Amino acid sequence: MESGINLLPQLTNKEVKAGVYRRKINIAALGLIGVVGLIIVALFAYQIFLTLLAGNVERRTEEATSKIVENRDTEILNRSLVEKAQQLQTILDSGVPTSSIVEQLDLAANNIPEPVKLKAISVIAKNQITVDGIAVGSNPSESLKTWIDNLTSISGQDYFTKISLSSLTGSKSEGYSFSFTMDFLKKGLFKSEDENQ
Amino acid sequence: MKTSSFEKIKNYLVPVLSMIAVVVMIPIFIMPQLNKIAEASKILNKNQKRLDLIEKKATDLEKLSEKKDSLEQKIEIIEQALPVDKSVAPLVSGIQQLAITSGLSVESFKIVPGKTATDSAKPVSNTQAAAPSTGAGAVQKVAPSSTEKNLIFQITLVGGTKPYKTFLSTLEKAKRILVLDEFQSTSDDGALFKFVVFLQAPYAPLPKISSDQVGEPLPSLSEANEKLIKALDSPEFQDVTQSQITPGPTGVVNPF
Repeated sequence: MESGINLLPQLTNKEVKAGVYRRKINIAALGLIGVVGLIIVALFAYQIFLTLLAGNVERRTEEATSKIVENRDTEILNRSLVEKAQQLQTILDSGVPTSSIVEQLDLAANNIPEPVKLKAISVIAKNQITVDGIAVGSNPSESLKTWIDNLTSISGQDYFTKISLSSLTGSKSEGYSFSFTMDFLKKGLFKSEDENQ
Repeated sequence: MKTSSFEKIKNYLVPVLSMIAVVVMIPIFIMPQLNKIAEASKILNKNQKRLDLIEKKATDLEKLSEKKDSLEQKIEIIEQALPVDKSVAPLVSGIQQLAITSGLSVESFKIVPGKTATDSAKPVSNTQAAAPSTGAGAVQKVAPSSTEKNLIFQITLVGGTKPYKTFLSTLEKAKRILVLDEFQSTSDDGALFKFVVFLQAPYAPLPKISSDQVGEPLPSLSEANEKLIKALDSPEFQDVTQSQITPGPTGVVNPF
């Protein structure tokens, strides 16, 4: 049996393992560079995509803008209409139906066997009412009481609140002069049919 | 020994250089690119939102243009209710006419000047001139004055409460919107009253145009607005300022 001599130095097991690790680390390092490179390329590509998208948005914006400019007259007309309609609505909503004040006061004063005479009516600050009048006749105190009852009755409650007597002078034989202040509850000059129902 | 150190460095050259390259590439390429993308996305989103808005507006405007006649009709109704300017002449004649037809006599009719009025144009004493109520409960208050968007008339009327109520009811349903929410009245006998009324005739100039008019959304009429326009066009509202004023002769008339 022939035996030879191995002239190459024997690699230790540790050296073999170190070589394998080194190779793996090198591959991983190169892979990492590759990944980072890919990310950079993707970012640049995404930016190009965004630029194209922005161009598309700009083009569509220009198209839409030209359409709007073409219909500029209609837009101005519509804007004026809506703005004025809203202003009008606000004015009408905040207005006080003074005809109802006169009607209700008149109704309360005349719906009495011996009507009270209203001598001054003032409406200020939109809803504050001052009423001066006299109650004469055979029973002026009863007339005055009925007038107050009428104002504070179920139907009157819908219209008047905070009714207070400011002054009362006179006597049963001469009649009474009175002055009342009150607030008017109703507001709004226009109510659509639906609201009325 | 030296050879051994050099060998070690040579062995790890690739990973070390790779790490250096990665560390350098992140601040040089990746971070600025991410910032640029974030900024571009932000602008793009903003532009996209604006585009959506103006595309919708363009479509709505095209639809609206097809119904331009109806729009013009509505604006005519609204313009009659709330005109662009004061239009004093038809108001004066119309209101006087209305008072007379309601059964009231007109004692005086004047425009309450605004705050910028000269001294000579201002009333002597607003409160005294407008407050004939002498009752104990009478509240003293400075009379209202005309503003940039509101012309105020002070009218003195004489008559009974029923004609006055008719006058107020008609005013409240006038096609040219007139607001009467302040008045003062006095009577000696409880039958014939003297009414001092402050009548507001609001008017509104054309709306202002914004800097980005194209990007402004197209406003639309609410249901309440539509109902109001419909009502203004109906016989429910009366035209009290229709009376025409015949212009007087102008120029030189040929005497021959």
